[in-house]
Amino acid sequence: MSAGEEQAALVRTQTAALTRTGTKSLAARGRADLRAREEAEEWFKKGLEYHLQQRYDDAFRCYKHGIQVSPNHSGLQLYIGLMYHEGQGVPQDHEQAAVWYRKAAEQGDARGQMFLGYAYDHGEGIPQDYAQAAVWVHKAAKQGYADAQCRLGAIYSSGHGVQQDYEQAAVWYRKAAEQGHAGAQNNLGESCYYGQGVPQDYAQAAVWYRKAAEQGDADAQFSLGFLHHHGWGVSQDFVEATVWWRLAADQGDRGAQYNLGVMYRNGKGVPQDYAQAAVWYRKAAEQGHAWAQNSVGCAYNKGQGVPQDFAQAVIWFRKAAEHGECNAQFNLGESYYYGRGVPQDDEQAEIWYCKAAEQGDADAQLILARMREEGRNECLRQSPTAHGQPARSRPNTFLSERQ
Amino acid sequence: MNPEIVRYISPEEQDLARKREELAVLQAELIDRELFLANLRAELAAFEGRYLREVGVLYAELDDWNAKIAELVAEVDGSEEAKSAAAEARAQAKESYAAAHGEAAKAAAFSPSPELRKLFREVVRHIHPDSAMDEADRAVRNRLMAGANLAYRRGDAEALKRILEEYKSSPESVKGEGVAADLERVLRQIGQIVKRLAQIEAEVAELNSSEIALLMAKVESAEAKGRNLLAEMAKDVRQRIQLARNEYEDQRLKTRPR
Repeated sequence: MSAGEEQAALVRTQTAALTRTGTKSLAARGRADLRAREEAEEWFKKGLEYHLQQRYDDAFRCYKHGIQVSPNHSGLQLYIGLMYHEGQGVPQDHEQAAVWYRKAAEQGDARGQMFLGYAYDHGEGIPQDYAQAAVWVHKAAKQGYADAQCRLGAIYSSGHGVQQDYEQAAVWYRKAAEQGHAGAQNNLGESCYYGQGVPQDYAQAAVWYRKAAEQGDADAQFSLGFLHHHGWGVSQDFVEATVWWRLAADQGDRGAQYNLGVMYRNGKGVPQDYAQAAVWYRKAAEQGHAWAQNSVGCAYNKGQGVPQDFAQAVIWFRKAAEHGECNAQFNLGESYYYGRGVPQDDEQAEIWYCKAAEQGDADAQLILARMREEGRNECLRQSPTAHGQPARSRPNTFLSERQ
Repeated sequence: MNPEIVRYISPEEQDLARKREELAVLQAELIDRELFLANLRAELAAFEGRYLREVGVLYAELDDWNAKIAELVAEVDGSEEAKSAAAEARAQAKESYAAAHGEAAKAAAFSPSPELRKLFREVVRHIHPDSAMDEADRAVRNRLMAGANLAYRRGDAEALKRILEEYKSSPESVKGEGVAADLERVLRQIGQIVKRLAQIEAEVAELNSSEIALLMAKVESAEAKGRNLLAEMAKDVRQRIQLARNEYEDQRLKTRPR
């Protein structure tokens, strides 16, 4: 062998080492898998585009193509599950949805774990199992997925599938809240407001409500308005209260709509405006808010902001009274007693006064006592004072219970 | 006055001077290309080691589980087809294991310091076989060059220095006699270097088109975008191992119910 050949041979052995079959096949395999994953990724992206355009058939087709190329692509598994769940691009099938969520979840996909948790929670496609739901949501939460952390907080708060534990609830709400999750910020505000799992602290509650409210969370906007109205933990400020309630009211929050009506009626934080008050009362009333229904009735009774209409007043008093609203029961009793908007009817009047009295309404108790004493007391009925007495509403009271 | 300057220069001597210049240019290029090749080989070997350790071993594990599944299936099925499938799967698993756990997997990371690069360049410049004056010299240089390549890959500066000294202390090569002999030798050297350069380019091309080099290119371009492709690949194979283990467990419970 000549020196040149020797050198060449040396070079060959060094190069051969890098192209030997073992490595070559493992490297080729790695590249093939990479290509498959890239191709699947392409299908995934394309599918997502269609998904956003609501072209669900095309989206589902893309996801399916992708999963054929790369069967353990967790994003594809998740979205196939979603499409089965929503019945988009494929007939709705909760069982299939759960199967695909599980595939994604078992690969550690946080959203897959969260949705599998939901499926267990609602018994969708799998038997309902709160403990399993908690297990999967916990896995997703541990990965730092804010939605799951918030949900886990709610699970601890409700005690579904776990030992009820307000402290744990607050811990998980805080994790999500600190990530900027508006729902969790609101819930942590609630924990502070009620002192559940954390020391009771209106100022802290206001801090978290404000963060969520600024992100457009209607519940938090309502609560922040409430704290400002009462000056709890923050300065008392009717204008600020009205601002937050208006934001929530515009989002359809019926509590905020009612309270905004009250502010217009009383001219607090806004110039007094009965017509505006009636508008907001009505929005809340139509959503079944009993106090607002009573207030709409009062507005018709007095012709405040709407043309006076006793028949309409009775319709709204009745709705609220049937919801158990004490003032409306009294007012409906009054309507029957005086025959306003309904034919006069002592029996009906007594029925509704009674309901109000049972709830502790002192006026109703007084009237009932007199009615029993005097039988049909014409004098009382015709009394100009009694006749001119406005129907009551409690515009200064606010829903303190929320959700 | 320097007598050299006024000396008459024959056409042969002029020719020799031109060829020597040409040779010097080629020698410089050769050193560059040798260094490039040495670095490429070392980088690829280092990447190969990393790939085999981070991903290759996982493929070997995956193949082992797949072979186990195929063997279970063959045990239950009993058909020749299933048996040969199992044997094939087992052979694949063995091959992958050998590749992933072999010598190549031990290659350490290659990151020569600027000093080491400089030293290696010195060694190549002095001892490259294609600068040899004669065959005996060439044989010595070949031996030293092979050692230098290995020392460079190991990052062994001491060894490189020893090689350089060993060559320097070897007996001076005999210079040629007369212009004609010198010219002939220079022409032969030029021919050798041109040939060697072509070899280097061929080898670089071969290395660059190897699977491991293509993979390294992908990994490096992903790294530039802040992605760790090897980690992604490893995660992917690990997930497939988990799925294969689950399948094996299912299969085992089916075939050997407790």
